[in-house]
Amino acid sequence: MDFLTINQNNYVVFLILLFGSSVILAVYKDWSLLTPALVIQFLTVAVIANDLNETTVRVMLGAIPLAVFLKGISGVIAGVIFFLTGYALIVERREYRAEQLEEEMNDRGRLRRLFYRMQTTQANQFRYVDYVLPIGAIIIAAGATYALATLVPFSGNILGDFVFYWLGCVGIAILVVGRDILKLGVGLMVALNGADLLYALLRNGDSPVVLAASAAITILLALLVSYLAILFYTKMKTLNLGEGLQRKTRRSRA
Amino acid sequence: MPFLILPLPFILTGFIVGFEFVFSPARFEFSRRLMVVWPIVALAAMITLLWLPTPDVDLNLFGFSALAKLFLTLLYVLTGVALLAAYPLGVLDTGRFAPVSLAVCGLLQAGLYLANPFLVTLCIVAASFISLIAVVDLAGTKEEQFVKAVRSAVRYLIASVLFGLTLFIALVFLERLRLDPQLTGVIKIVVALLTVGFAVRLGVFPFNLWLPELLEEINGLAGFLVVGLINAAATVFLFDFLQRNPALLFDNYNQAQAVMYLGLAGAALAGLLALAQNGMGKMLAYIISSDYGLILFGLASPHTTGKSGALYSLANLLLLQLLIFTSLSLIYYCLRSNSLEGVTGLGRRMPIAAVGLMVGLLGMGGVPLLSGFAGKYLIIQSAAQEGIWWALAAGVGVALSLMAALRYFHRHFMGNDTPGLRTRPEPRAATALVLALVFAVLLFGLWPAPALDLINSAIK
Repeated sequence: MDFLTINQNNYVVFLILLFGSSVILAVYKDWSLLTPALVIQFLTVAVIANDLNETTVRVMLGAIPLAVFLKGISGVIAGVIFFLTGYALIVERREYRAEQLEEEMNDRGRLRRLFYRMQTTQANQFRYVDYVLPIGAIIIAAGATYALATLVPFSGNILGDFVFYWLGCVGIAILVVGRDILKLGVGLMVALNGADLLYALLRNGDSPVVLAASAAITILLALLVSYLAILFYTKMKTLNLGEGLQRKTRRSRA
Repeated sequence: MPFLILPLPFILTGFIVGFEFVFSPARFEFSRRLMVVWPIVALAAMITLLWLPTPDVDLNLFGFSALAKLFLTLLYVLTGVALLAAYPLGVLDTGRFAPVSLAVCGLLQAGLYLANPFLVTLCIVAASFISLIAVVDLAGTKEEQFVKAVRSAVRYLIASVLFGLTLFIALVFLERLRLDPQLTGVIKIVVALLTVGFAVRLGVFPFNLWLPELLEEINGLAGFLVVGLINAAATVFLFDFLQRNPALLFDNYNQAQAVMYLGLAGAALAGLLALAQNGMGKMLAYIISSDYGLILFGLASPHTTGKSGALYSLANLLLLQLLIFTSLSLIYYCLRSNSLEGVTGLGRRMPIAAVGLMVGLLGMGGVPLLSGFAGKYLIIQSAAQEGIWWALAAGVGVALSLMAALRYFHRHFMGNDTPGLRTRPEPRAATALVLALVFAVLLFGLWPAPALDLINSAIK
């Protein structure tokens, strides 16, 4: 079965994969869900971009077009970087808790434990607003995508227009509703994916150097987001930028 | 030989990172010194290679334009001065500022060497990403400052990606236009995307939301990397790109007029907002935003005076930014990284830093006898050629920025000394550098002709 071309039988699968991965990226906060969704989205967009590219002379890497290979590999590497970042944060959290436990054992941290429990309960509480806002943003993104793809088509291919606008709108939606560093990084990656697709759609001929540089930028962005996330978490014990500032303000008031 | 110039900064960056890993600059004094020596030697070698006669190269594939050579030389010299200033001010202790500066220079150089605009865009975006490491690394140890620095770094990251995306999309549409010249409507889209992308990168009002908090929270020398080096290289790229594609702006007055409106309105409004700021960094951000607005106006204007004024202003902006950011770093060093909030009478405690800051701010305000004057004068002259209201708007932008700067300077540097404030003495090496920069500002202010001639010949 040829997975690199889209036909009448499988295009729905690709659209479902694209839509599903975008919803997961926009709505969920758990990195163990976000990283596979990101990789799936990259691979799906790579296949769609390959199928929509009407260039006669393609640069091939064996049986696979270079564009698909670079896009796929950059997505996988970015996914691995985010996965490792999430893992590093969990290890850091465990160490932090072990430190707290030690303090409690030494009977120094009763008050701190009380505050920590209150904070954890508050943080782990299921709040509709955490999901309503991203779902609302996704619905708005879907509406905007439909409107743009029908009112401002530019590539002569409805699938290409739809996917480009969808990635752009979802990327912006994630950036708007995102509060933590990893989430904002994911939003940027989704938007970047859209630009790559546009390059495949409208450009006449693959430039291997541009494709490689674009893949390198994707990986560099993932590394930078990971660096910022780990640095921030190590110091503030949260990834939420607003929360970090509020916590500090509360502490200074006390 | 000419190709050596591309990998050289990256090889040395890798070497410095490795060396810093073995001999931490925080522990070894000689390592800190070498952090200055190696990048400066590399920058000197890059300047030499830049001006070496090269065999005939196809400028359609790669090669430096005359303007790029001129500006890269200036960038390298000023980066060398920034590294020299970083040493006595303790900025090199973490060991990342030197390799980051060198890597940023290398990426900007690669960007200006390659003719493919897609690659240039990616190089500038990569340079922005790398500069972020310096932004976060020099954020300071205080928690609140750190959180705000990371928050502003994330905003800067988003702005950098947006710049890359808009430019990338504009270039893709331009390719489409080349294939099908009948699509004249696409020109508007390309110009709009280019303008928005560069307005975001340069921080032209109202696309400057990422800039005020960034400059408020980060170390001044990291600020120089972000709003000095990268913005200057991006502007040079924009000018070269517009020269290669005159149908977009230079030969298209209708499109150019819209960009001129944006630049001028941005300059005047940013000047007005600079008056309302409550922090030194935020005020500086709006003044810089106003200056880049004027530069955008000058680049888009159909008159040669506007273009040469914009490029001369850009070169001076680099020099003045370095002077201001070095003086600010010196002030924060003497204040032991404490905030300027509520502090008065600093002029007596830090006279050299105060002089440096004053000259820098007056220079940015386009005061005669200082280096900022000639560029501003040419831009306002070019605005006057469009009509009196254009010139008035440009003048209002400059005047408001100057008022904001003087007001802020008066608040902190004049008046009574703050009782109980503990400060360090100004380090001699840093004061010598500030004085050297002040001298350069005066020199280019009194004698701008040679520099203007160089820029004019590079434009031709």
